[in-house]
Amino acid sequence: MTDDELASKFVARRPEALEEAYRAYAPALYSVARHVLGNDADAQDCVHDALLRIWSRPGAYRPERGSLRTFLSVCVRNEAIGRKREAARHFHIEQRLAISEPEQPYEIEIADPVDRARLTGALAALPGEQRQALELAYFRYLSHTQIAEKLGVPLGTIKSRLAMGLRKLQHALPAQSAATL
Amino acid sequence: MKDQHMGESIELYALGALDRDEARGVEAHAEECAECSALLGAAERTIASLDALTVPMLEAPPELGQRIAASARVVVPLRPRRPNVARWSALAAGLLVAAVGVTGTREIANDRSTIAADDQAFASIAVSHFTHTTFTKSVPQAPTAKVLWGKSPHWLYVIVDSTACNCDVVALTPAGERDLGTPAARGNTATLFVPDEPSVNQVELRSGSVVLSTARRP
Repeated sequence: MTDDELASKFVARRPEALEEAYRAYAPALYSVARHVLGNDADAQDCVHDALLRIWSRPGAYRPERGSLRTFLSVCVRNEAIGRKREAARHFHIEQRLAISEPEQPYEIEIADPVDRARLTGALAALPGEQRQALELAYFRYLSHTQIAEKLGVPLGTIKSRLAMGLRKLQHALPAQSAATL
Repeated sequence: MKDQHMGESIELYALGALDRDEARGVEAHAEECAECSALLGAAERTIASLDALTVPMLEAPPELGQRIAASARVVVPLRPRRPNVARWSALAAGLLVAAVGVTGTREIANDRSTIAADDQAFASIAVSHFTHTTFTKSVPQAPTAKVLWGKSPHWLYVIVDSTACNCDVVALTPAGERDLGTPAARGNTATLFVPDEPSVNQVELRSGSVVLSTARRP
């Protein structure tokens, strides 16, 4: 079954569509959740709950959004980030994260030197303040308000930096990379 | 055009940089707006590209697939305006009774719809995480009642320790009040299952306009 056929079944809410979508994209969905949350049990809960939440809302996915795979992956990632922040709040880690972490660039761990060069090149091409905000959001999972507090910059400025930075990355990163996850 | 819709929230959503409530707002808007949905899709493709470069690919545990398959069978999609299953089933059963003149059929139909709603509740309880709170009484004669709050999907299951209370469950949301339905009598209790109400964090038991008791999501 092609991705388009699966997406059509998902939109039509065919009873088997959720299971089929999970089977098709399980490694990508689980990997994203595991990467954000750092352990298997939380990652499983996250993928399960995120998919069930999407499935309970008939209009959640529409074809204009793009590929079903990307949509589900981002939903799982957002759910994982929400859980990570919730846990951090619960254990009062959030404050320590915001205050004590050094102002240094995130150490990007990518084994493939070509991929690493591709990403670091795309990030390096951004203005420093946009890159800094993006790294805190994407690699550290901080919210816009947390980033604003951490950097001591107005919230509106941070929103603009994040939006502009991601739009520039949109053109700098090759689209085919998405197909590999 | 973009700024008339979600503006920078599109990219912030894709990055996971919004708070939960803000993210829910973006999702709700994207469900109704094709243009913003397309813009959101473009931003999400960038995140997918980043993930493809930075996230190590792992095999998903087999038990996760089994768990999702089991849950998928019991999740009922939320409709735009959810009719109360028990109430409408009872109405349909009542009309059937009037048509065929068999009075006993009504009780059987009521029982079946209540059992079906409870069965759906039990299935949701079995496969998902939940918390529970006891209703705080506003008047002494209020029945003892409890609500189970499902976590994703955000179902509710209200259990009233009385069948004599002809009361409604009313949700209090930022958008206003909404009648969720009447708990259906079953043995010594009355129950109401609501499949998915993510925006509801407070409910009241009411008899007419009188607030009997209140419960909040922990």
